[in-house]
Amino acid sequence: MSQPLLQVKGLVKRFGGLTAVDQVSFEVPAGRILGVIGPNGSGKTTLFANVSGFLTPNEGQVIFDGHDITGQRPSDICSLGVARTFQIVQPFAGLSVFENIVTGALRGGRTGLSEAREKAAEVIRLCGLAPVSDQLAGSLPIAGRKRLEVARAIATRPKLLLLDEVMAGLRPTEVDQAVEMIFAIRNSGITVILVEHLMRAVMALCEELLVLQQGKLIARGDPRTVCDLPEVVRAYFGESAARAA
Amino acid sequence: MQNTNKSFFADWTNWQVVVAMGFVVACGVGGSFVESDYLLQVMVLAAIYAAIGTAWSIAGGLSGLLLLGYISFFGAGAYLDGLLFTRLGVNPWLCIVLSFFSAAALAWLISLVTLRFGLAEDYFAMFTVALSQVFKYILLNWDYAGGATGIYLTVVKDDFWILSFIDRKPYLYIALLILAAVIMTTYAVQKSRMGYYLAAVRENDQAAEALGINVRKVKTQAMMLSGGMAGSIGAFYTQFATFIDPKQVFSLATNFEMLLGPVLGGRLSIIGPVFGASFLKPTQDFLRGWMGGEADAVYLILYGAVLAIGILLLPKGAAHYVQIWHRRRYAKQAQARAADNTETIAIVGASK
Repeated sequence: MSQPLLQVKGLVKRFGGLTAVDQVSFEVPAGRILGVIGPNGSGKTTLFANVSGFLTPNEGQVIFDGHDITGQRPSDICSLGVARTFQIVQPFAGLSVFENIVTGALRGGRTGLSEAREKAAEVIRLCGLAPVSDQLAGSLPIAGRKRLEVARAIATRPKLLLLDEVMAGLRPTEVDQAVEMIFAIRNSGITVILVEHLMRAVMALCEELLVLQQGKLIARGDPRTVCDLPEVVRAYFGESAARAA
Repeated sequence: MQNTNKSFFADWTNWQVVVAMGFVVACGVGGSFVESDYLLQVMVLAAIYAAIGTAWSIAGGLSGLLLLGYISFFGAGAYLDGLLFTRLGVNPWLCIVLSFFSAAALAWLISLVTLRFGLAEDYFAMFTVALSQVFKYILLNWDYAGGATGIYLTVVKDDFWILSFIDRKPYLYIALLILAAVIMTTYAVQKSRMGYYLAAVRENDQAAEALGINVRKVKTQAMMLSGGMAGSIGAFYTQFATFIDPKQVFSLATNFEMLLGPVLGGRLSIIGPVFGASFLKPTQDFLRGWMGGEADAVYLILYGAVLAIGILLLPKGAAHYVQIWHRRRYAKQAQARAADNTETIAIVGASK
């Protein structure tokens, strides 16, 4: 197999005395859907922030598509083909849904305005946002905002998409739609890494799973196998549950 | 920023630019019948304030920067023209161009310092206000630039080439041309990719950065454009007023008066700054003419009241209400057109 799309080598991020991400290494081959799970505060979002450039790691390296992107500006990393969503959605509330997505489709100036408009219309259809295209982003309900968050990110035509809890707070039917949408995104050739608590969605989507606990990578591999590992059960449910298992 | 399938006027930005430019032309035509020098003076000042307010709205409105100390750029342009013209005999038209680039360079320096060192929001605002006062005191003590006495220009004859006229009317036409240029620049910015970047940076700079927009660069460009235009307007002001001193062109009171139009009118709009300044500046001038020296005190109180009430009642500026009206009007039209279309389809379907 050729070189992986993303390589994270020995990543360490400290906040004062707390080590939020501790010596995490992994790689993601192109075309994969990779899940990152772990209890609250285990460093999942911090890991994303380090990969996407919003935080600079204290140690380690992030190599994307052959480029060392460690500590680069988020906008530059996005230009190389990494898009992310935010756990707490960040729509441009005062702009319409269409305008939000055009902003992503401009790719920081690498696409002209008319082409970006066409791309935005295409993404709107793909993500099922056509009925609300002219509405202000701030007026959307939460499911719509999460959808918009993903739509705006894929409008930048990334090679790698980082999804941070895009299914939290959705109703079961909405989760099913989101799962379908993520499959569609992967099938369009985008590699996906998702942080998610919703195990039903994770099991349905992911081909490989990383488990973080207190910043350390404690397990990785096939989702079914990983979930049965005693250290993973212990991380989630404590010592007694692990012994019972 | 619109869907391509709408009519030209259904787009808020298009509608605004036509209304604003129509107003500018109307002022030019109306002004040609005005013979009173006083009235012309009032109109020129209103046009200058409108241009300044519109220029400010790119950085202060569209990019969301709290650029409170805006007069630095105006003053820098005014002094650059005063010095170059009176001391070195540089052509004033060239000075207007040079002032643009100098003020833009100043804006670049300010953004370099503030954005790199993370001065944001209120700290950024305070920095810019303080900086304008630093300039004032430097110039007050700089003998070559006339110190506290300032710079006088002598106008002896009409000469378009050196931008000096005995009559006030030519100044009005030039001021309106400058205003038109500023309006068209703002319009072009809003209609371009830059318009999207500015909106993204204003709405949520983190999300903007995640979408590949270099937030610092966009803010710097907005500052440079706003600053540069204020510089050019300042250079024109020196030619028009024929007298400048530091207390006047770096005055804090004037600084805030200049921002009153866009803030009350709507700093995200084009019509807001244009009509805001065109209404407020003459009101102030007429009050001053009517009440004499007392007016300064009275209108400060009045201004304070208007500003407080205005900000409380119209946080998004008056233009916001015009926008709501505009949206409703064209939404109805679009519905009517959609209904027409379905009818046509039905008819076509029936004839098959």
